Amino acid sequence: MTPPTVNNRAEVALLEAFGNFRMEWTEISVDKYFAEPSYFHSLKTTRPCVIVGGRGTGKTTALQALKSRPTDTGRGVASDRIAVYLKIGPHIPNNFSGPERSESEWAKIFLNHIHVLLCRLVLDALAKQVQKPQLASEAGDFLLQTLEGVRPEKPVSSFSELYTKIQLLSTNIEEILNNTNNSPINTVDEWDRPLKLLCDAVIRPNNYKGVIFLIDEYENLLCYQQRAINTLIKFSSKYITYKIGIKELGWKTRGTFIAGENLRTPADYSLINIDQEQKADFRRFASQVVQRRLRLVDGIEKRDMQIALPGLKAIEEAERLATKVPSPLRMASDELKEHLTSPQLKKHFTWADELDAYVIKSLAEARGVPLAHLIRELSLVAPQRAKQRARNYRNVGLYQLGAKRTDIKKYYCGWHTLCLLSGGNIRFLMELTQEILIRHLRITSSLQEGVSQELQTAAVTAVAERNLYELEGMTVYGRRLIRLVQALGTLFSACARDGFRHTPELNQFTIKDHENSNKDTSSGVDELLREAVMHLALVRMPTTKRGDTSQLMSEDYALHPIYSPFFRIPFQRKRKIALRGEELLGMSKSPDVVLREVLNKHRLRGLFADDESSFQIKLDF
Amino acid sequence: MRVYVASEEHFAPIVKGDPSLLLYCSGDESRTLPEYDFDLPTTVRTAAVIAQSDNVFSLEGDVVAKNLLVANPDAIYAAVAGFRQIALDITGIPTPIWARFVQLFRAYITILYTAPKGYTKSKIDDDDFHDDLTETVYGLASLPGFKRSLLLEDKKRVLIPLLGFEGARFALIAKQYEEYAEDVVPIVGVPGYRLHYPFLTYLANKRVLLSTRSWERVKFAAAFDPFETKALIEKIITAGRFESAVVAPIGTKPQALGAVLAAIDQPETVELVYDFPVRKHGRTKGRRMTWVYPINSAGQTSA
Repeated sequence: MTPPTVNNRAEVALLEAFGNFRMEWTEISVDKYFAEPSYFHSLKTTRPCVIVGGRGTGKTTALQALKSRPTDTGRGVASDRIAVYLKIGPHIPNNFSGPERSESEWAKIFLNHIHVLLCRLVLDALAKQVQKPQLASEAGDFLLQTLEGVRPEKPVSSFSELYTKIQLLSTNIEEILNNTNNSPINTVDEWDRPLKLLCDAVIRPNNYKGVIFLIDEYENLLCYQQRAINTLIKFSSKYITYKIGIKELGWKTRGTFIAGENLRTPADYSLINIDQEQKADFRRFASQVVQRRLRLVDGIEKRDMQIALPGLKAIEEAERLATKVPSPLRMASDELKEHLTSPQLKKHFTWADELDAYVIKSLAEARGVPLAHLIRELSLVAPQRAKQRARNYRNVGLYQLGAKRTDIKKYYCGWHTLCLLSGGNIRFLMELTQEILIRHLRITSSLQEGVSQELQTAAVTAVAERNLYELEGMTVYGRRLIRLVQALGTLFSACARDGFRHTPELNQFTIKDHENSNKDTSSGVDELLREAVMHLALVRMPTTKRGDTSQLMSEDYALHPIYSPFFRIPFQRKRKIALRGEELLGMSKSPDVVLREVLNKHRLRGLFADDESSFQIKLDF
Repeated sequence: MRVYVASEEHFAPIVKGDPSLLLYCSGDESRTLPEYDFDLPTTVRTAAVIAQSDNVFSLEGDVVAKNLLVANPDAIYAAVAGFRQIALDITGIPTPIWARFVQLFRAYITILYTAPKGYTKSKIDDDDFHDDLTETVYGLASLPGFKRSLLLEDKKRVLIPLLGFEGARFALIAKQYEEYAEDVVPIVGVPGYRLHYPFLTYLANKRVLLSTRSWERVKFAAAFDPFETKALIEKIITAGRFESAVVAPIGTKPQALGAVLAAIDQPETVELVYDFPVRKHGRTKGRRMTWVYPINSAGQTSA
């Protein structure tokens, strides 16, 4: 979908305030837009930290906020340490691999490269932070000797000379990458000796106590490369700290190059899991972030996001969806009242509103029993229990009411709902908010009024679709992930529409019989699930201890809630369906064939109408 | 430099009697066989490139060499020593291998390429040919011989994808580089091998062209002309005052050749990024004309 074109000044201001919801796009934005998340105090310590979270959860923002800047606002870890940021780029890790060398040879080259790279970053940062950076010449010589493997011909006499020589070392490494005939690869006897020498050569002479390396997108590294940096982390001196940003399931190994020595938490590093940290606090944090940005647009200090983005109660939504004349809600309510013939029955059903009446009536029809029969059944349990049983199907009632409409079939609106749709992901939340407000501005030219629920629903649906197709570029598995999401979305959408005939609100799945699958299927499913979770196609609800990735197939999964409006499915965790590993793999490769088989299989439970036109599989991948 | 339609004269030895070497790689596509409309002179020796992977290959025929590493130039030089003229038919040779040959033998190599008559397409409701042309992609890396160790974020950089019929490949590259490149300037092959091919290119890539808004900046170079492509890449860099360009050769092979030549001439500025696709069998049909690209330094047209 094309991003909205800009029509007026308010839109320009809004796009500028919200358009940078990808923090990577502008470094200046950090000072302007940064709102401290709840876990930030844990990140600011001088201990090594690993921060785990999906894309858009704020890892990069948090790491960027720690970086040393010329106009340092003192937000960083400690002003006596220089903090430098490194993002692991998309193709660089693969450049350090190939059949021409063994893994141990590649490891030596890579480690050399990392040392040179980290030195360069520190020298860059010092050149910007310090007016006339100083050099301890002897340490500088030792540093060059350690990196190059040979003593420099003449001593290095200045900071700029050291910087130039270290830049040249990058060129040398590229020569090695492109030519197997080159000279032997330099190795160091102590893992972090170059970095210790760096501290002696340029960090302490410039009145810094130590250095912090902020390494982002750690998941892009190959396994042996992670092992190399794990080794640096494990054996680093107290003046060198690492803060690592990594996606969920992005750890390929916690091993190091020392046999038997792995990275362990909390002994070697603190672990910050953004999902868990922000779970309770996300709405407050999100409100803070959004309001900060909106203030830049219209200057309003504080606004109530629930008034700005109003939601709908279930009964209100039902009334909007049930526009047929006569109203099916009114008819069901009247019919229910007719059956409540005694004062005791009336009292038993005082909790039931028009939507509840509609649900009870639909349940009776789906089961093929008279309404009176179901009412009698419900009257035999306590009112609270009867209410709970009926309300289990409340959303199903909404899906059914909307099913035959041509415009909005289900509402997705309200600040609370937006927070849930974003799944704790601040980037998604910002994207949803921006899309809603841009569309709103085009109609009203003002952000003061509340946004209509219809407009909110249209906007979040557009964002859902956009993010679905963005999966294509996230990973080499992109197209397969799109097919998988489309297939699962279609499956759960069909379940939502016909929920009265089976378990209500099926929107999760689990893999069954995985212990009996053959090795190829198992590893294929494992890989698919890992990629899907890492790139936010799916979310997982671990039944095992988090971090134990060997049990991926035994966990429960759901589509990321951001896609819910596109498929019109529930976005809160409800009930699950069992799928076989082969079915999941099939959905990612030939979704139209496999999905039809899965739908037909569940039809045995009276899930779907005989007429296949009651659901359409529209899979354009 | 000019593009020629291949003929016998392109194989006439520069020095009479001097043998020359024609390397090719035959696969399941008929156009990969060195079956031209003319007879090769008797001074031309031939050897088939057997690609074991994108990094390892062997030569069989008039020259025999086993398990040559793309990363080992000395071994490649030794394998073809004795030939002062080399013709490389890149039609069937994997891009990482022929790109390395071009880099190593630029001074005395001539390139040939035979376009297909058509491409396989099985899904009528999908504009993207990706599922028919490619099994999978391995992932992003520099081409062997062109590897870089750093992607410095503070350079003013442009992403230049050479577009083909596979929007999925453009999607991966555009997404992975969106924060490294200030701008995306795609190149579409116009004219294409056939009149309607540029339209297919737009359709196959429309989603990403829209999402990156790069449809507004598309530039055109002939799909079969590497020299025009090279010149266009250089012009994009200069006109935009970019300090660096990431070029993704995911379109036609002649355009990829142009990208390789640009990277050879400006190694500090032009970085090649590739996704290492595994090609599907039967992806193309038939053969069209064979073009000759005299890329050797003297612009000589003989192989």
